[in-house]
Amino acid sequence: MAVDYRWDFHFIWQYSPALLKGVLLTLELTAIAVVGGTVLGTLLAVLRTSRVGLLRWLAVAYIEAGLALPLLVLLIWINYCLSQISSLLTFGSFTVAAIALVLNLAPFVCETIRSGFATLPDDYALAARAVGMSEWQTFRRVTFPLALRRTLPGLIAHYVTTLKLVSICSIIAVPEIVHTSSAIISREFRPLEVYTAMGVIYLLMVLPFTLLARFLEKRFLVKN
Amino acid sequence: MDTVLECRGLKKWYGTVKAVDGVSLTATRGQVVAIMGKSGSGKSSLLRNLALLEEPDGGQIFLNGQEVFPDSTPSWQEQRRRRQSVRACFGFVFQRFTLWPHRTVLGNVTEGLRVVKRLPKQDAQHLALAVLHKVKVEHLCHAWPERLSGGETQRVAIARALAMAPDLLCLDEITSALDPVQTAGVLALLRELSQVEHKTMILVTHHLEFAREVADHLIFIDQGRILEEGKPSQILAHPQTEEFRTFKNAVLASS
Repeated sequence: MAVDYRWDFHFIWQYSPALLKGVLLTLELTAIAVVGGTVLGTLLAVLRTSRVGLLRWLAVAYIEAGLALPLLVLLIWINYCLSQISSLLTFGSFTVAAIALVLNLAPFVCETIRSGFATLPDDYALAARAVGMSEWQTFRRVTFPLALRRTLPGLIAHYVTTLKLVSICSIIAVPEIVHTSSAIISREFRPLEVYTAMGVIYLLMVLPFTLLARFLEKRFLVKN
Repeated sequence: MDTVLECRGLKKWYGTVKAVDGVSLTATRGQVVAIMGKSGSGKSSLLRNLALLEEPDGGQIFLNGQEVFPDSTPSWQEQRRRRQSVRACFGFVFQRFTLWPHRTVLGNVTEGLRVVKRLPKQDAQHLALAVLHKVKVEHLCHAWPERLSGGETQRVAIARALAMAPDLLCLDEITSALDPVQTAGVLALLRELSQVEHKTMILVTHHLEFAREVADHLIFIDQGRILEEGKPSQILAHPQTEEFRTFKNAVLASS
């Protein structure tokens, strides 16, 4: 029993600049992943319904692989295996992390968007075409806004997961929160305090997003 | 007489299923055409193909004397544009999921006016309120569709269709999801639109009494074909085919 362990958080303050850097780096990587992953995911969702068989097949193959591969595997593979193939494919750890996070998020975005459209009753679009809207007007004014409302809560959940997954990038030495914390631990030998502080930092980072998701859900989620 | 809509030998197949199998019908201005038939007989397909919401597989459609299907225009962009304007001539009301849930009642009615007819916001709202007043739901103009009862929903859907000033209304079983009181209200509204405003309508309904009283022409469809048609009071009194007799008795037994 460690009842007489003496907690001491004081030393952590001196590392706050480094930890803050870690927080900013995490947010930066998350932002890149969210933008890149959403663009690529939307593109995949479009390719999946393409009339060209090869494009459709490639999209499905990537989606299935992307859903199956853990981020850890992607990171290691891009970081170590690609550089073995060609020196042109050797990137810094930040770039590797960004690429891996984008590739990891895109299939989930694609699947969320697809299900948002797939569960939308055809009748809404039919009603739009019945008043004389063109296909583009129907998409812009009816199908897209309705699908987006169904998609948004799921998308935000994947974005939050991505933010937390940035911690895994510590294994390729990206100086984000976990990596910085490990460095602090090896200096101070106070892992309990450092891990507790890490928990608080993550909580404070994720909480605004969860609240935003709650708000959006209340504001926009349309019942049928 | 002034023919609004005419179709000859209209066909629509889904794979090997002949949903619409050579149907011909005419609606003159101010006329109400009622369509009956059991579910899966091709009533909805017929309506959707008439309004070119789907691509018919054969036959001809004339709107105000002009052939709108088949369309011989060589350019597909032109074809698409013309098809859009044809659809706008039909006011369509569906059975379910009719209103767009992300727009208020007023928004649902102004949407087509703004996007398709490109009216300024003020004019669109003005017109929409007038139509909503006509169908007696003006007081709900700022409500969201999810808050409406089934009867109110269908009234708004009718208003949305009417606002576009269509040549004819296509109503696809619009009362079948409503309770008896709301059904009576919506049917009374349709009667008024027909008798006071002389709107041309093609409607799918299972209300024999309503059809007898309001419709000028009744069509009974089975397996995509017209089995019987004529003046409602006449053909309802003397069904010629076993299918129509069975159908009529089933409707009577359930009401």
